[in-house]
Amino acid sequence: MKDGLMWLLQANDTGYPSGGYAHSYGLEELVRAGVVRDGEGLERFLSKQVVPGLLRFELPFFARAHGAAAAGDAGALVELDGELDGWRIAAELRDASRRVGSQRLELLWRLDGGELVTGHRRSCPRSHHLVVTALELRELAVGVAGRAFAYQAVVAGTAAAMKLMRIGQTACQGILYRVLGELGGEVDAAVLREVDGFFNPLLEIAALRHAFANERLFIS
Amino acid sequence: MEELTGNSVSGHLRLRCEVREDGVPFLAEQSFRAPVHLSKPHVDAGCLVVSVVNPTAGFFDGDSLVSEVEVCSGAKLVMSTPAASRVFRTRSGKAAVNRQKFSVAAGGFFEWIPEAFIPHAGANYEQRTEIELEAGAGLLFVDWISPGRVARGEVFEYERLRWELDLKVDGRLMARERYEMRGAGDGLEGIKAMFEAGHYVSVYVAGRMIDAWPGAELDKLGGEDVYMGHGRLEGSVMVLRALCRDSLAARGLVEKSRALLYGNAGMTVPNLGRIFM
Repeated sequence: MKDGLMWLLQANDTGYPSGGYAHSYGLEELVRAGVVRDGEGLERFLSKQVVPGLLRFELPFFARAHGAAAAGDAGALVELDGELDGWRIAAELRDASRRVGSQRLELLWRLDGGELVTGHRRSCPRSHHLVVTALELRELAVGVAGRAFAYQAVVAGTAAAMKLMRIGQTACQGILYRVLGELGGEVDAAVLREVDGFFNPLLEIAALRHAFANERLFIS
Repeated sequence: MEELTGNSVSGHLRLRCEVREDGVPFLAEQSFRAPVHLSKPHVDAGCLVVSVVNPTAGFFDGDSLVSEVEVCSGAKLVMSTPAASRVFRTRSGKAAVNRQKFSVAAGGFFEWIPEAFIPHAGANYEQRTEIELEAGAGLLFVDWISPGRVARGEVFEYERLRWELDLKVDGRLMARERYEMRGAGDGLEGIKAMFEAGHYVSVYVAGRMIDAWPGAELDKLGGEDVYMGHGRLEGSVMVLRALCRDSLAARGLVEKSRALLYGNAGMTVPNLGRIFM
């Protein structure tokens, strides 16, 4: 029996090979377009565009997936995975989610190898990141697991920003500290909410444009 | 039961478009009631062109409209509005509700090309759209949301817009949108970060038009006044999204992209009978 907290730390460590470092999830194009130029712009992007999306859509949806995984409901997990395709309009964001998810699922299968994980890998090998994280952390409370998922989404932004802009680790940690502090207080309410969307055409368009960019550092 | 009160109206629009043996599309069924009225349809470029008119000049709070439009195999239907659609300030706090369902059979084609949607200051409006396509159905579906009556200084001053859309092909979900847009708060950051009074244009395309997708030509429509992207959904549906600096930029994008999509598919652009487009 694994220790829940130790497993949480391991699965969220930067050394855990998820492939997430290769994705900016639209930020690279927003930097190119001049929408995000500096630390202030990055913090605004995270708190006004990423965090609201997490609170209104990703975390409520994550709670559904977590509930299905905790109940061992393999069919519901596959159904939720398919529904996510409809929500993620930009092909690059869908693909990024599936790339990271499938890499995490493969490793989870090697580490865990239980019936639920093995079955999900068989029926949905290119599963979405959100669904796989719910599967990974199904034995933890949904609020804790949700925080881990949200943390991954926000950190992806600051990690990518350090390669895209003139911003250092200390400034990024300051941004993370403030954004995560604000987000953390709202996670418990968010995982109880009905799933809803968040209107963010800018990020969608950025991801759509990034797919055809002439030069790029990140896959998404 | 549809209700008609002194303060609001509940209406419907039901259309079924079929095709005659000689290839001419016609309305095999039509029924409507305020807040909509239909113009006399005409056939152009092989399509039946129908204008949906709002005789009350816009939606008031509590108004509701339920639309069901069916396009049968081989039929081509183009639906448009002759002028901008408006939603007025809510007096009671209630929303105006517009529910619309569009079904297109294999071999059929449906275009929805409305003028701009203009939510006035204080407006409260819900739009729920279901699009059901059979594999092999054609679609060109445009939504154009303005920030308000910009010339009067009303920019994102509406109270609430609720936008929902499900697009399915053979029952499989391709796109799901659930947006709650409020004038106040951070919900419109995704527009304002690019243009302070930006217009939002969304286009879904399926069928013959995506076989010859004019990607490079569409990219040329972007620039200082239009921030645009396009790509493929999970199945055989394409999406185009754009933020435009103002109404002229939005109109130019809609007009030019429409011409490109029809032209590249070897189809003639149907005349909507408007001054523009």
